[in-house]
Amino acid sequence: MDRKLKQILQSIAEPDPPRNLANVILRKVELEREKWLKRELFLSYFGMASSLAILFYAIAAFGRLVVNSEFWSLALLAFSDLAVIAHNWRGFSYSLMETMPTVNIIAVLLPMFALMLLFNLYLNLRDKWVPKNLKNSLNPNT
Amino acid sequence: MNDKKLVEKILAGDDTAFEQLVKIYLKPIYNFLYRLTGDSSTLDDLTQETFIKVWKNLSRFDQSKKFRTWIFTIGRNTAYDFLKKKKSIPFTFFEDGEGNNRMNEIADEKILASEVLEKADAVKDIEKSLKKIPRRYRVILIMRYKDDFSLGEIAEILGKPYNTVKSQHQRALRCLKKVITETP
Repeated sequence: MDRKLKQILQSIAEPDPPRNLANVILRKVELEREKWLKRELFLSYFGMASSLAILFYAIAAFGRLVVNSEFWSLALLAFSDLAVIAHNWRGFSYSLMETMPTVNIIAVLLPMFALMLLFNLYLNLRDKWVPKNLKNSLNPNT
Repeated sequence: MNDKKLVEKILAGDDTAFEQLVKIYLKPIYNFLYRLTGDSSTLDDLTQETFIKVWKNLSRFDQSKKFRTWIFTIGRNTAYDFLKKKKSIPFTFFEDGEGNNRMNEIADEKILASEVLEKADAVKDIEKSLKKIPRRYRVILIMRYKDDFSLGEIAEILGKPYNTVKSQHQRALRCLKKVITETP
């Protein structure tokens, strides 16, 4: 019975969609894609500019604190008294860790990290974004 | 190429794969939307909207599931949104003013025997009979027997519990039988 009903229902003709509907859909999807890419590109530009500004501010504000800290003076010893440090490397490491201005360093590294992420996003989007006129000029058939 | 590979290709940035997907699903979705809404004037727009939603949400599609079920579910949501805007509540017209379901009155016997189908052997007769049964029953029968969905898949697409769809399927068959037998 099921098979019979299936046969009958499958032989019922259904209306075909208009001929150009597929093209209209593809065109609309293409427009949506362009809109999305433009929005994402804008966000990546805006994000990069913001994180760059924050980075400059962080370097100016927190970088000076890092440079003036005891940690920095200790770290510089690595360039002048390497032999002594190598001899007392354990004590030197502990001292470095104890004096490390963690908050200041993170405050500088965070915007740097955000900047790198956004730059990566921008590069990915740029690969996808080929303006229409450029696409046409690259197409040998046009 | 199967749906899974097509989806993978689209997600990898292959534009031609989406074209193929549109070619495969355009007619089924178009007719599915027509069955749900019964409105041919907005059918093109609803079909476009469905495919744009598919494109926008494809990255969120769980690839362990069936793509066919997913795309029909999106179609159903699009149709329901449209009906909500139109303020026509779908699938309630077969209940009377007191909320009684007329279909429950139909005798519960062997549902749709071959003899009944023989009586309405011509495809056109069945087509006419289908038009006489409530839309929600018609949708289930066509999805089950024409689109070849399982009852579980129909339940998922229509967003209803499996048991509800199962009993509605039985009622739909009974209703169709009634219409066929009563047609002179």
